[in-house]
Amino acid sequence: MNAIQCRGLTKAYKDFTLDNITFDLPAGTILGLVGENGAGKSTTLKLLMDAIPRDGGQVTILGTDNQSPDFHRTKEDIGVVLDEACFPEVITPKELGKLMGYAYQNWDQAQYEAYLDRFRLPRDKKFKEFSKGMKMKLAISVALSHKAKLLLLDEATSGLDPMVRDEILDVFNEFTREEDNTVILSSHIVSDLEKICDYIAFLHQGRLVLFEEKDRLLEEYAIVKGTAEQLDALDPAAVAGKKVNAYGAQALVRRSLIPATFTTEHTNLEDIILFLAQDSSTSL
Amino acid sequence: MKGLLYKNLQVIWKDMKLPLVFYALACFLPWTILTGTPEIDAMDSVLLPAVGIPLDLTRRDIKNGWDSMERTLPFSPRQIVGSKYAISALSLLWGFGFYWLGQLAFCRETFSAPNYWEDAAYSIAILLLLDTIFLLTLHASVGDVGIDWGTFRLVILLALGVLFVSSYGGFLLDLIIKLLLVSPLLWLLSIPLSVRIYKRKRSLL
Repeated sequence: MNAIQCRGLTKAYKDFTLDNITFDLPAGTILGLVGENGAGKSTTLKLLMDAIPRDGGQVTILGTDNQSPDFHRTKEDIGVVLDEACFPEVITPKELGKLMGYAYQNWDQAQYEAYLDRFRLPRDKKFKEFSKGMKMKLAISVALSHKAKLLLLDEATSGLDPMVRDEILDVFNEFTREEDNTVILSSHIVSDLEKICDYIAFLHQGRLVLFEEKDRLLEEYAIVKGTAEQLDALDPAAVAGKKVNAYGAQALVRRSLIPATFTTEHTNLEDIILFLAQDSSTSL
Repeated sequence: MKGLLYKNLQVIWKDMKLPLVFYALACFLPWTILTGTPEIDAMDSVLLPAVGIPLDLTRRDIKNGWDSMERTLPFSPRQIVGSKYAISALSLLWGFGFYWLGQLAFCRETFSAPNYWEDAAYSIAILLLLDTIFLLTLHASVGDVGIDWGTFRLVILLALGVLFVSSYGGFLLDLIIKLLLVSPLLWLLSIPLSVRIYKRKRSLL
């Protein structure tokens, strides 16, 4: 079963359009949504939650159309962390727990308290006095404390130091140990996504350039180095992106389509994304 | 909606004490003290908390991003809008409470004036009508031009509304009297329309 089915999702602004986003995300997986600033990651997540209305397309979340009158009930099963934790400034974690207890039928106060302890968050301090990292940890504690089946995390690890990021990624990994629990994590820190994600979606200038299993991407693609002329001789179908500078050329290639005479180097997700971003007309 | 009310009351109690005191004083100290004459129209001051408190809450919600967060929580648009109406009703009670305390304290003789309760009912109905207009336009006004310009626009609209009714009420007396008879019902019936405006306002994001 798919946790999310997205068909032709479109949103047009004056100077930006999120255009025809289509993908299916199987339940029980982690999707890394990557793209440069302004690519449309936050817009995509808000459209999935119907926090902003779409201009076209269809979205089904956990089996419910996100524009149906019953979707607010489906939100019981969705935990959301926005790019900036947005709670009232004067509220404390203790009061926030009470608020969320009224909001969610499946609110688990014991679980919430356990996360507050784990993240070392003071219960009686006002939200406005929290650091950025603490605010994010509080938002994550809330998202994980109502037996959610789907987590939507918008830049949840951005601006955090590496130790905190690692701690939080472990928490997300634990979340997906429940068979049907699904996570969408948007980030421009590609190394974080490479650590935990099963699928990668790359958004570039409002278009979904790539949606693929991470392991398959890393197996299938490689870097080839040489002169510009050598790389020009390659089958264009094999080349997914190219960089040429004064010192030589590099290309991102499909291993199976290039001659054995070429020496390939392993690539990582960051390289793949950088090559694709450079050649924005490329689609895999 | 309980969660939204809890959140609103926490914010009001913790962060809006000074405005609450100001509104209480504005309703408690009637125009009588300034004019020397018992004046039922001093009830207009109740509009200050009825508009000011929900407006201030909405401003804070937009500035700290809570209005975005709220839409990801399992609240229906009806519950979100309903919580604003509930706060406005509580704000009206806050204003009325201090207004009548002030009347009792400073001009008790007003209560024995001829037609006092008729005039009071007229004033309450006008307030409810204006509050209805405010609640209907709240999301539409502050959403598309930003919270600060939106607040300015809303305040101007309401001030013009009050001036118009005060100046030309006599001319449109017949229509106004008909509306006033049903103004409490209009206040309640405006909730579904507010929900539609709230849903439409999302398209401005």
